[in-house]
Amino acid sequence: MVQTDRESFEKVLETVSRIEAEVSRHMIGQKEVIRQVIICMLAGGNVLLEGMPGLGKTRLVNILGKVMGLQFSRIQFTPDLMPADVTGTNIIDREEGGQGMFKFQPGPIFSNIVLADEINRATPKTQSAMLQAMQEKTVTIANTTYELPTPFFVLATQNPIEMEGTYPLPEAQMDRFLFKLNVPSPGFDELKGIINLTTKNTEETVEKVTNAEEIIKIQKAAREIPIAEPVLDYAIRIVMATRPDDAASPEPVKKYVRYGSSPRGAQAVISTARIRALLCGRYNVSFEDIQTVAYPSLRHRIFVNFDAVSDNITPDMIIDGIIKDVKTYQ
Amino acid sequence: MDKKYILKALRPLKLKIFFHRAIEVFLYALTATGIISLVLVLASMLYVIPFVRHKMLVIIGVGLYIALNVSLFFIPAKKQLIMTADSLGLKERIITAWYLMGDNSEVAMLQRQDTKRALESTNLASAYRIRVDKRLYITAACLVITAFLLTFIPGRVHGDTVIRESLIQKMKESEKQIEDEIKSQKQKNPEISDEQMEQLKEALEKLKGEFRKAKSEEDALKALAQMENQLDNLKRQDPLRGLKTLENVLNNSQLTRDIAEALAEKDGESLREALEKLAEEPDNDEKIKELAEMLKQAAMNMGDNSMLSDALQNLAASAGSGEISGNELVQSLMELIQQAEENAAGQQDFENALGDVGNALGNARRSISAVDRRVASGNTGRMQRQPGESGNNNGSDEGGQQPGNNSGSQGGNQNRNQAGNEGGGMAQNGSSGNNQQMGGESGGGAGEGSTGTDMGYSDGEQSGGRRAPGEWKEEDYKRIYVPEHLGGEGNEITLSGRVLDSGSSTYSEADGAPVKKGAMVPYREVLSEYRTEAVQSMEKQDIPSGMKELVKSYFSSLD
Repeated sequence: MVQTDRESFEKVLETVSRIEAEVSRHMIGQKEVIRQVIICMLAGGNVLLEGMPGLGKTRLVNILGKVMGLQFSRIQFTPDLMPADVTGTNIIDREEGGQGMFKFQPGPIFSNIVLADEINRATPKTQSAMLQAMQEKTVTIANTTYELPTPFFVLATQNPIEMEGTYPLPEAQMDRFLFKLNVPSPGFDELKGIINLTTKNTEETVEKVTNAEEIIKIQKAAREIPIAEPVLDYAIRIVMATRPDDAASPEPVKKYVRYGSSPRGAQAVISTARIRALLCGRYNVSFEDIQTVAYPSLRHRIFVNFDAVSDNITPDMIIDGIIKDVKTYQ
Repeated sequence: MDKKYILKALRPLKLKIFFHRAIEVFLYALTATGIISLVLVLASMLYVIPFVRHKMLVIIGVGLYIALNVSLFFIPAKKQLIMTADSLGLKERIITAWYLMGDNSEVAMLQRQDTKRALESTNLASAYRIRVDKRLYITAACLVITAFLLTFIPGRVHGDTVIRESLIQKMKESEKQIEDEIKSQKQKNPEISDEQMEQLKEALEKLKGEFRKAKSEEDALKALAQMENQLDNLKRQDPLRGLKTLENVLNNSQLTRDIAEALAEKDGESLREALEKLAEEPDNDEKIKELAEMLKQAAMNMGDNSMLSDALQNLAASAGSGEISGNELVQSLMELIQQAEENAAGQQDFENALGDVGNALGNARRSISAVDRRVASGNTGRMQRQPGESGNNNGSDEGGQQPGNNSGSQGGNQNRNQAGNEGGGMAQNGSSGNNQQMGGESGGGAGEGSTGTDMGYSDGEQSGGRRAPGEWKEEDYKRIYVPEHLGGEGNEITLSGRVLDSGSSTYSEADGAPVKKGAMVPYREVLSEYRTEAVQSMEKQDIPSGMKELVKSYFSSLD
């Protein structure tokens, strides 16, 4: 394994900071969401953004694509959207001689950043077409597997209110998102800033800070960020505490949780905590990193039971309880 | 950057954490000692516990001392120290650096540099805040203050406690004075031998032991009486008289006549030669037995010269039983005689020393016996007078003497005039040999009962004891303890003579002793009433049938 040299690390630190700064310049508010999206993308994961329409989800993805110098495509999911509309399909390409042959026509998924807008409106068949792409970064059509461009990120959005005519994402598909982020509504000052920024005749110039190659370097460097054993143990204990059948899990988990996090949850926590440490200018993972990334990493991996729903207990509340209950050192 | 660097950088923090823990341990200790003190103070309101404030301070002091020692075990361990440092804004940099210590990868080195930078830019000791639970402060303070304030509230036994405290104080003072007196004897009386000094110190140690056990004024006076008695015994141990007795006995035998003559001439050289000559004689059981018998006889003839007589008796017993050879017997005898001669040389000084110590004892006795009166007369300002008791107390109590005038009435009328010396005067037989005349009070005396032989403070003679005819046994106390507050002041009564099997003793009877009315009633006044009561009890079967005869015979004897 080729290790990242000192200069590269220092450059990585600088680039990460510049990406965040440039995106924040064009997005008013949502600082935590911006940071977490960047974290998730640099960790090589997919993000599920949940929030009301008009909160800037699409804009965020758009700006990120430009700042990172990546190819960007958007798919608006509707109930009549077919898998081939996402992945692409073989079409007959008639040559001059009159002979026709199948030629693969790539779908919008063949892009670095794919915005899957309102993903829960598509049928499960179409949703599952995304599965292979999200996890394996490949698409198989008619026995032929096509690799997706690297880096590849899916940023899906869903509306939490309008549930009529939607197809909630199954657990398996939810697990493939590294983060699930709740996009909050902007406050007074933020809304004022948004209006000032978007309702004037000013031309927006988004600076390209990095490119696909550098993003891959950053992803690689991030994996080398060391994590002390007590910190790693702490992260694992937090993930294990989400399981109701675990002896060490706190009482609210036993009462309200149907299923806890899969090992992918632990992977998500560790890999994103490393990126967060880099973003904070550190070369080590802290307990705070683990606690911060635990919410977006685990909230969609904790499946609550009916008691929780009836008592208005959300996964975030459960994670709160776990963080309070699990000791940093044991 | 290595582990040593990290630990060195964390040292100020370590000290502060230790200080923090020590404060907590101290506060816990203060709370615990506060509870103990509170219980002690509450108990002192119900039971006599002298110097409760002093005890409280000692408890708190001991508690804090233990806390100091315990806190040494709370020096933070490395892991704890690193955890705390990381929590002060270093974001697990130190623990990661610690784990990466053997790693030489680029990122590990960068991490170490980053940690070093963070350590240099952070003042960990000032970042660490010492926060102690306010409830702990308040609880500890409240307990200690409450306990302290409660000591000012007089409890049920406050009067008794004041008397006990005063008594202890007096005992300590007396002990110190006597000790100083004994220590100064070597300078005052240079001829006094080391052994004699040891005897004085031994007597002092015994007194100290008795003082420690003393619970009342009576106990303290008893201890002093014991020591005075011991000094009397020492005084009677005249080594010259003992040597003369030994000389007389040894003169009776051809075997030891040379020794007797040497003793008579006080010629050390001749004595040594005579003893050596005796030692050169071949071992002969009969001769040894003869010598042992003579030594035993000499010991018995010495009477109360216990030191020399005891030694001779032991020597005689050892020789008689064959435990030591003839040579050893002669050698021991020589050493004994030399020791006795040495003691005899310093006897005059020893007697002077005994006199001084005896004086100190007398002062101590007067001082201690005045405690109760002093407290009762309001020196402490806390004692209340009994109803019907009025009058004033003039004069001072210095050195136990009570010059001045005590006037007033107590119960009935009791005029006391200390200056007057009417009635039976009291000759206090001081062990110093200086008889100290005390002015007797008119109508003084301890009343009936105090004229017995020893007021119950002697061991008495056990019936069926193994005392051979002619042998003597000395009582522990020949001095009679005189209760000074049996309803008022009284004269001391001293028996003259010696408590032995034979001989006579005299006593003075104190008429009109200031005993409270009702405390003592002539038995004839109550006999009929008691007899009637006894008869009724026998009729009601309250008394076992076997005991009825005993009761009847008792009342018959009274008639």
